[in-house]
Amino acid sequence: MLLFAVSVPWYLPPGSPARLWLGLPHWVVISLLAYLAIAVFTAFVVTRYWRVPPADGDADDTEGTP
Amino acid sequence: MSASLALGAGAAVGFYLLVLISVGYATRRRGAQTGLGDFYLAGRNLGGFVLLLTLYATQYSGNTLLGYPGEAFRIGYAWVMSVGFMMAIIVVYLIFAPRLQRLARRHAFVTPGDWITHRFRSPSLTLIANVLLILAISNYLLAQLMAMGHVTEGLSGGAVPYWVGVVLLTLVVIVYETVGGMRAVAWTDCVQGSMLLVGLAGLLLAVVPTPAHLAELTLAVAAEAPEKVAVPSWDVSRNWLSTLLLIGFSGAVYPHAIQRIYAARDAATLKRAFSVMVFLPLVTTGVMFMVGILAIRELSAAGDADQVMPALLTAWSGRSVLLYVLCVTVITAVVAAVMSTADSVLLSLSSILAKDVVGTTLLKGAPEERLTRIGKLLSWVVVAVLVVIALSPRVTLWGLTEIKMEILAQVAPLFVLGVTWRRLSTSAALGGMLAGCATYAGLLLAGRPQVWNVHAGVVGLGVNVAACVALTLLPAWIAAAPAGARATGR
Repeated sequence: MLLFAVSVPWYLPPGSPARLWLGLPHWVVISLLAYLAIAVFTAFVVTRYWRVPPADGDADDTEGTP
Repeated sequence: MSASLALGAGAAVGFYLLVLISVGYATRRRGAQTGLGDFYLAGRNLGGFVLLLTLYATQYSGNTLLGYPGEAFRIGYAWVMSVGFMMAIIVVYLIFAPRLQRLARRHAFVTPGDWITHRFRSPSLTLIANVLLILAISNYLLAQLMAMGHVTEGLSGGAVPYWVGVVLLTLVVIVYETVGGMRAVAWTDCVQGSMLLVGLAGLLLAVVPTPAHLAELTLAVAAEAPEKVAVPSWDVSRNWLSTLLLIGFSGAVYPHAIQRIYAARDAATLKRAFSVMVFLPLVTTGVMFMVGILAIRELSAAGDADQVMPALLTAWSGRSVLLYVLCVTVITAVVAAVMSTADSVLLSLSSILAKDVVGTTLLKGAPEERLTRIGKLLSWVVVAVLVVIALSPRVTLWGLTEIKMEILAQVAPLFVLGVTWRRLSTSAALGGMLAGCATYAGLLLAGRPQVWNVHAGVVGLGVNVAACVALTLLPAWIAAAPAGARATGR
């Protein structure tokens, strides 16, 4: 959530001229870095915390509350 | 578009269509495909490579290759948001996909409605959710059929009329889908996804975004249209946040995407596919964003945003033989992207109509073989109706896309909250969905498609989630309050 919030330049003065970073406006580079960080973080979470249960041995279930 | 490019692209697309039909027939021989799970979910046995490419080809439609450069051309560097909202879809998937995949395997879910019925046990809730899903994806399918016509007409320079594009490409899709079901769709998606990746690599080579080149480009754009380079206004930032929420939640509950979660061979396969998928927006929408920015300088400021890609391809194809070949590849990739989305949406629509509509009413208790045959028949009926609508020019492509996302967003809590929050009650889920839909429809009728630059569908989603939480917790608090008061009184 924090990285998505950083990707949107709401915290920079609107309409202010852009500085060039790697040939792009600085706020675009910040956005792209935030998205790269989201991708890396998500891949890390998937790899590290998504536990793959043994086939058909998972007791976890979700039932409704009528 | 130049005549030589149109000729080369026509030959490449023709060859490509033959490959698709051959792949469709080849997959048919792998099994009889009489059961619903076999026909609609490829026997729940999609491996890592096929699953990744089918998810990829389905997620990125023709709109990505044609519409996104146009948007970057129109609004400027703020269109970098497209990388974020495609990534948001994967992040939202991960909230519910791991558990949903396990449950789908254990309880043999075929359609999104199967999960809703299992979780909430309310025919009314499943019915309303299915109506919304059918409405949204019919809309989406119609948009893809129209895109087929626009793509063939636009990219052939008018040599292939709009109606020929709609009818020909739709016919190819319906043929390979009817003979091969999800197996054919998934394997043709592999071909289409590969074409998409090759086409994007070609575009990247054509754009050559070195820092020096980008700096020159950015300065040129800043001189011509400074508002496209400057830090965006708060109006744009609010709309950006709203778009992240809208696309993130609605894109994650596309019925055809949910069915790919069901069709994964196992959790490990799905896990591997998602860990790669999350990087693909950077190299897909990121490339399209750069292409659109490049067009700001290459094309006239007064140019038509929808014609950005055809205009750029025409300009590039005349520069060298290599660029000509790359442009032909990109055109084939555009056709591939439209078809790969259309086939997946059509298969999903057919499964919902056969299993959740016909299978629970007219043919309740019918054997799966019969429902599968009915589903194939319904695919042809649905396609015939939508082709007739697509051939009339009374609806606009982009209007359809927006409506679809905002409707789907109202179904998202049934999956995101339904899977992750055990206390969510059926009445709260139903109340939330109805409140969300009423809010969205009310705002549209009041002529407010956006409120303070936030999409009406996102406002509806906010009301939906708030109602889900309030209607689940309030009865429990009210029931607990007298008990608490009695305890205090003692």
